[in-house]
Amino acid sequence: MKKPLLLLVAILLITLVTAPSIASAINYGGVGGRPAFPNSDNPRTQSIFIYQLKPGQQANDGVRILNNTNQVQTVTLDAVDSEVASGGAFTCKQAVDPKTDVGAWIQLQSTTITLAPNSSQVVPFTISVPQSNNIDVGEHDGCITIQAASQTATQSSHAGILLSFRSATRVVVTIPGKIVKKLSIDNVKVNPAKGGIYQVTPTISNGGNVSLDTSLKVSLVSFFGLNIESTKEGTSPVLPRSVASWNYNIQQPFWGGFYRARITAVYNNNPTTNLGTNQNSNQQIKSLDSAIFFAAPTLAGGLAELGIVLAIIILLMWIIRKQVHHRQVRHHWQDYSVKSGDTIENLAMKFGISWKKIAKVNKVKPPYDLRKGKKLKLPPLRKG
Amino acid sequence: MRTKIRNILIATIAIIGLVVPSVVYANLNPSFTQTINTGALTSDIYQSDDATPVTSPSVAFAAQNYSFSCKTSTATLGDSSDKVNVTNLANGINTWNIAIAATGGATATWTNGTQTYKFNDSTGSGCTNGQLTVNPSVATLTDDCNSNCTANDSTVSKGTSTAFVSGTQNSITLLSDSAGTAWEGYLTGISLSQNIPALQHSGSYTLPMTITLTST
Repeated sequence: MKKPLLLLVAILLITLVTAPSIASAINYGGVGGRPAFPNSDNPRTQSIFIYQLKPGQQANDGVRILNNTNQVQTVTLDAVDSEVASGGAFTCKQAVDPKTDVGAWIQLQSTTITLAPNSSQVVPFTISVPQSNNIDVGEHDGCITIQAASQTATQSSHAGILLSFRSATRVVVTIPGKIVKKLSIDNVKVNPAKGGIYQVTPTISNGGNVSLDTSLKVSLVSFFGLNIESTKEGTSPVLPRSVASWNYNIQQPFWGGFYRARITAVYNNNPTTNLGTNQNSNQQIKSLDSAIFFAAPTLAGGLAELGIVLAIIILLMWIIRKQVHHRQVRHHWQDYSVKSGDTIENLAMKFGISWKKIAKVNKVKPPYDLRKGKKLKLPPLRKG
Repeated sequence: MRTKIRNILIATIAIIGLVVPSVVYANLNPSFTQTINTGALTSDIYQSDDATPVTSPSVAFAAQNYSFSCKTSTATLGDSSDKVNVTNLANGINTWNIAIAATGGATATWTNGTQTYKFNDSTGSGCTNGQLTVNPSVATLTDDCNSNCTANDSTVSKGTSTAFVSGTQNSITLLSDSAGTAWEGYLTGISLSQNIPALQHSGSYTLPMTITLTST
């Protein structure tokens, strides 16, 4: 009788536990692209194209275009040069801009494709570095851009900015020769932002001729050098011959006080190491602190500090009051020798103070019997 | 009583047998909770449901009267029903940057079909011919990862306030990420400010711009 019931409960439990975790296929993302044939020796090639080519050399590769939407998408592909966006970040030039570098070196097999819903297609391309002595040694960057027709702005009745969207994959071509890796932290600035956040902005210069994948960490350091808080470490490319800056958010310190923001930058400084490979070897570590700044405490921290200050004030007042009382006893109270018939109660009445105070000052313990001749400290007798 | 329990048991098993296979049609292994297609790095402007793209997105500036002096018109890119969304569900070390630039490049202009003024001329503090400033640092960045990715907004960095300058500042960074891990989120409240030159002819002016999300 019990067994089938237990079995039933078990089945119901299993059903309840497993059913919510089961979901139908879900699509994420829109239309994008990525390298079709990443190099297993270089994890960076899963997301960007990396080549080392001499002038006159070429490479064949492919870009996988993904349509993760539920609609048919017509996608336009283009190869363009790169440019440095504000803050030293990597971005791609527009399709109308003249192509003079990597954008001109890439030949895509197709520039328009139609993708079925939730499908992908590889578009092959060839990258050919021209045979010329005028091509600078070091890194050259470009992009393969992907734009769905549905993300392209059309003339409308709206005034203002008409927005289009595109995604792009960076293409890095390094021309071998004298490779220079040179990174410096120029400054670290701290500004209070809204919502109890401090914005830390480090500025870093890359004086070399190749980009440097730089691991960056921002820490909040107390006046005494204690590490209070750190951002998660992230790796950002600092482009060759450029200055980069980022805005990191640091939470308002709980207790407030005087702090410094510390930026730590780690990069591979081996000129023979290619982008994305052996990132953890030949590591060069650079660090710089901001000027000392004052940070107000959080509301909770401020209240806690107020409570502590009040507690200290109360303690001090209590100590002062006690000392004043001791001084008063020491200077004004007189010696009294207990006489026959004296009790603590009648002495209290006689001298006009409480019997407890007499007991406390003179350390008389229960049952508070006073021996004849015992020396007590008592206040002066009241007149009248 | 025993027969009754046996009947309930059979009915329960039958319901499970009928319902569960239709639910797990896409996923027979209960240890997997979702089937996710190969992820991509994509950007779009979404409506408040965080899923439906806005058709023909545009940003309207506050109207200005014809004036004998330079005027500044402001606008906001991104609000609760126009969210500048980034989805990074690509595998690998996928740091990214999202930037805005004029689709027509450095020579593009605001135009009403006949009259023009510039968005990238710093002459006279941007008042002589017109200049557009983009300030993403005041924008609100919202992690929208749900169960698909990990919130990591400490490695997602907003760009700083920057004005377009022809030839030297053609693209302005809105957001960049150094973590390289899967992430989804959106920006709202990016401040835009356009200096309109004095004596600019009245009309409805447009400027096509492209937001580019680059895997870096």
